[in-house]
Amino acid sequence: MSHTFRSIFDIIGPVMVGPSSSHTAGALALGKAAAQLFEVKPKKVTIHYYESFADTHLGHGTDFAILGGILGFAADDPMIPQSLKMAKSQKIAVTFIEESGDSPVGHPNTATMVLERDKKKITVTGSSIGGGSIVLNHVAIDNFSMRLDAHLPIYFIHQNTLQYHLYSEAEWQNYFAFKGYPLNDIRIFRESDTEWVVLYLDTVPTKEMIYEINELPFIEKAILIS
Amino acid sequence: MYNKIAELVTAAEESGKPISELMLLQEMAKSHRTRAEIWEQMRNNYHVMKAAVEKGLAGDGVFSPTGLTGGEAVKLRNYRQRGKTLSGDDLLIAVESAIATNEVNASLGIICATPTAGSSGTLPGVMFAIKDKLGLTEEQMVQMLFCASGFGMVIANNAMISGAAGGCQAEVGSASGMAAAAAVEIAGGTPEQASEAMAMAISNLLGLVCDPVAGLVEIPCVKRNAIGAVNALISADMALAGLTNKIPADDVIEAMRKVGKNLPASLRETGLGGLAATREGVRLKMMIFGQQLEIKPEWVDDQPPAKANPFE
Repeated sequence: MSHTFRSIFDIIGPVMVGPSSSHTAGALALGKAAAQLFEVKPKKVTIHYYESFADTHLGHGTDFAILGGILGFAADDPMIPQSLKMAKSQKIAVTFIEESGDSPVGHPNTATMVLERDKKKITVTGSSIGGGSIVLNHVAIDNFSMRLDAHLPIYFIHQNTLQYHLYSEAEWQNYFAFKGYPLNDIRIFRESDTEWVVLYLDTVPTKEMIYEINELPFIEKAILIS
Repeated sequence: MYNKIAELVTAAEESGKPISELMLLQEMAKSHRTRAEIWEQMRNNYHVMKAAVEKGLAGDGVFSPTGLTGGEAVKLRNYRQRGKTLSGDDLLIAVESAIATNEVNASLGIICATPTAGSSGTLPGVMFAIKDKLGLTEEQMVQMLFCASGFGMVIANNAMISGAAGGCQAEVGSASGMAAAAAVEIAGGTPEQASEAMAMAISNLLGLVCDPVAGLVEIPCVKRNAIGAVNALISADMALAGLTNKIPADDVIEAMRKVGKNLPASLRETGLGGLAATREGVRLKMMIFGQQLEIKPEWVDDQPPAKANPFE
């Protein structure tokens, strides 16, 4: 079996604005993950829906939820249904596209989100697997492409291969195990001088630990998606 | 983590701790949080559930933006209070609490997903039906949520809890199984009886399709939570009376997974089959969204698409 659902609050929860945990709360979680990865406010957002998302996004409030996540709303914020209006007032161009083909990642609730601002661009494909939980299947930062199957929380760590030290897989494993957060998995992607390390965690680390990771020497940046 | 219901039952029997307590301990170990922090979060979830039931039953009730659902929890309570019901107070309190919660959900109100938003009325339906009858304290109501989470997590990790993946059996079916097990524990039953109650509850709803009219979480979702809650109560009673399901709980979960995989896409939350594809279902969709409905021929099982669309 897969340990996709790890916290009892994945089952009893989230506390959320209706009407659907997979199509509303899960969509919001997908948008939030994309926003965390993008780090700044996008100017242009394009959402591609597949299968059940494409068929029922209007009725399930998926549009305002996914955009609400991108704008940074919490799952139980009663303002979520207003997110389309808020995006308009913030001059963010938003497009929703119902794709007629199968999900590129084999799940009926799939969305691909493209966030852009000037030359910065990310593409995130994820699936909403029920009860508000999500999986990130594919991430492209600018043109750097990463195929994943990540349940949150995950860390994206950017390393420059020209740095004095490049942390190895074993070093990441040991560091997190020592802190009491043994990694579920680790993925390393390298292209010329850029390396992205993706760490799969069980639970969100403490604030102190997040601070410590951000301050680690030799890394360009660490982004926690939770 | 407990991979199977059987492991959860054995651990509870061997340790002498209730399943709810085992889940609390598991969460503490996983999350590095204290008992008090986890309890507080679950207590908060309980308060959200309670507030949703109260909101759905206050005044004239709540209504969804589409107007398809709303106000029926209040209607049912008024009927019940006239004292001449067929199913009796206990079952109807379960039904009105379940419907109230799902009406709040459909109105874009705040709910706690248990395990999903579409099935968020089932567990509160059961909890508020037995609260006064058993004289349950707030602490015991929260304990039920911990117990339900244990059963729900095994179902979610071995099968599925989304209508898109497995049909309504995975949503209301799972919720009903979780609620039945939690009711058994709080009523003083054994872990084995809780497992039997879950097995019976899910067995009774196996194959239930997800066919939301107009793709909305309204028809038939709101009333399916009523059946989920009542099914959980009678399953709990059967287990407490010593009845068994014969097919073990873990096998029932595996059966649910396979049935879910075999359901056609039209019956898995696409809004293209079942009640959604009836004449009236299609008319409601067109009325709400004002668009021509496209029914893909391969998704219509029993009739050609032209007949399903009254406007052609």
